[in-house]
Amino acid sequence: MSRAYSFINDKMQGDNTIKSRLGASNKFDTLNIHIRNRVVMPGEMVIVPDSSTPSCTLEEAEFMRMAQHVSHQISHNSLGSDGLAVKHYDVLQRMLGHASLGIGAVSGSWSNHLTAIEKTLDDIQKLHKLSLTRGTPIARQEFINQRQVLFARLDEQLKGVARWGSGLQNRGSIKKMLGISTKSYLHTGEMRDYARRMEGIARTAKLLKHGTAVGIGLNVMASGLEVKEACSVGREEKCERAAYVETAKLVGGVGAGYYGGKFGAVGGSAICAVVFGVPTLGWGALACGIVGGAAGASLGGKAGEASGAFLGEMLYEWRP
Amino acid sequence: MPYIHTGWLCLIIIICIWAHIINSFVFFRRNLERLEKHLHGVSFISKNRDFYGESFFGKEMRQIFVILVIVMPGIFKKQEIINRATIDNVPTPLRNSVIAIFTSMNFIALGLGSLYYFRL
Repeated sequence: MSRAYSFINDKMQGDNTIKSRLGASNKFDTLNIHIRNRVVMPGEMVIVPDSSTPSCTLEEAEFMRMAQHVSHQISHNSLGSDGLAVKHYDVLQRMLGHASLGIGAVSGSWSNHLTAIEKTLDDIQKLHKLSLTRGTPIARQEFINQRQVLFARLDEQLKGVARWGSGLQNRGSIKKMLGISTKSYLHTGEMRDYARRMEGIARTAKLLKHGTAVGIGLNVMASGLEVKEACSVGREEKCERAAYVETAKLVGGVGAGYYGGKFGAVGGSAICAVVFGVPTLGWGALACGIVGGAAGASLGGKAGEASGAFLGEMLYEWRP
Repeated sequence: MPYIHTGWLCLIIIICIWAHIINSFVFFRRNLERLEKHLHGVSFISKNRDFYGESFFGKEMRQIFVILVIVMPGIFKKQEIINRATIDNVPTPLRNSVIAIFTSMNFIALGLGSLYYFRL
């Protein structure tokens, strides 16, 4: 039996291109009203209709609601054509979930790390501009030496897990990875691809910096929605119970998630220092912080929410 | 041992968690710079200060290393030998407060873990 499904668009393309590729019917246009007659951005949802019926099913209606919400979020947060949100969706999702509250310390330092990468890229760009305007053979040798130093620094900054969020794959030559070439620079006078990457990194750094605030916001919103849903059913008792339980869950989940993240980051850093002897700065420390913080926050958030829910139930039973 | 209702245990643990968060936040807001100044002999403490900066989360990361250096200086022997004298530079009340924060952190984690595993 045929049924509706949806997928996430991974690159910038017109809605007609997607429609013709899928060989979809007119129902496609009705369901995908959020992307009709315009360029579909990476990250936006595309709904593939249920071909067994011409009418709109409940599932399709739900997909439409979700797709509209996603499109709104993408345009509202200017998560544009570079596909950054899709490329790092898994990472961002982890950063924004309820357990992510606790990895604030890590997300902050990760954001610092990305800012440091951005600074190195900026230095490389400045060096390119400066040396190519000078143009003498001595200046050229000096340029190559200085660039080598900067490339070595960038190489160190992109080791292992530390390249997450930078959008750069540390494979092959750095020049190739960055998409820069002296020849193309001379032709066009700029490094377009390069600027695009830098902008992407800056945006990820900004997102990470606000990750915890967004995480708390999402938690509050989720609790509010639970209460609203319970109250809209029309049974006063259910509504009141949801208010007690969801509020206590929020207080427990946020507190324990944050606390667990910090505890995990302390534990992770300590274990890495003893077992692996990683330096206290750089990619090793970051990796340990991320793993420890995420694990602690996830467990803490879960336990805190469960405790909160239990407490909420008890308070509801004991209410005057 | 008398049976304590799980709801009460949940209430106690949530209060403890928030009290710990608020206490350590206030303590480090007032004393982080002082602690780092006293630990100037440890090279990575000053490097961390420069790297993580003054943002809220940057300070959180710096706190983690200050706690670890005071409580378990021996774990960094692969990176840097931290002398006992360097730790003794930190005034006793400050040092004891950091140790108390670290201890309470462990107790709360143990409590929360046990509560979740055995009762919830």
